[in-house]
Amino acid sequence: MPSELTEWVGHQFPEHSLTVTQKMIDAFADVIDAPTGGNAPLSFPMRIDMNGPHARNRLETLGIPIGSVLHAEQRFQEIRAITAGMTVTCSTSVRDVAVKKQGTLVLVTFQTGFAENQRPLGEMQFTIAVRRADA
Amino acid sequence: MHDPIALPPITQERVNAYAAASGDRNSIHLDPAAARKAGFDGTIAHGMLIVGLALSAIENLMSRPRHSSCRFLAPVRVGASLQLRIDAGDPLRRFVVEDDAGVKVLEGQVELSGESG
Repeated sequence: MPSELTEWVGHQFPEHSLTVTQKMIDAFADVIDAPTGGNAPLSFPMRIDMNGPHARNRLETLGIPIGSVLHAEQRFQEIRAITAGMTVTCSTSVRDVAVKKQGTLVLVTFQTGFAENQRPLGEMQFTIAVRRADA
Repeated sequence: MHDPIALPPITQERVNAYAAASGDRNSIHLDPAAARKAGFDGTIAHGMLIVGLALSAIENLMSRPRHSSCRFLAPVRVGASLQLRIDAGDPLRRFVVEDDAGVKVLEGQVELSGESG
């Protein structure tokens, strides 16, 4: 297992799938004040990602204490809107690790692809800032 | 430039509902003691909740976003009031979200449905 964060670039987490229901979409849309009853909001894929077993232990896998992390950036790209009834598979990898400020700050970027029957639906990228007091 | 748009209030109830709907149950959003241990004065909203509210306001004002890119600039405490500012004439569709103290908490840009990338 890599000891340096930079050695995790390219690491692929296990894929997982979720069958999306209208109830899931509406609950998510309602809390962000988006229209309900139709397509999932642009940011809904993170709900699918969070449903996966690796989402909760992703930081642990990389040896990152959750208390040292801030959410820095987030991107969504939609190719086709997610709707109820789709079984969506998501696959996440470590896209980039950038060391800043003499190692006291590390930016880790994850990339998640979403697909239905291997046809792409969209992509999500999120970057976390890891504060390292020991660097 | 559009007038500032008030986003829905950031209440603990909304944050709790977002945790349930998104699956992100990080305790800094739900438990004041855990939030204080992490260095905050109290619970803070999910960054993605703020992104979602901003994108919904943009969708209600213009049309559905199909691409977004956002930077989180500052944590949003539960109880904050937020305003969205967007220049509809800006081809890059840049926007910012500010809290009631005028602090920029989020900045980003969107591409809307029907616009070429």
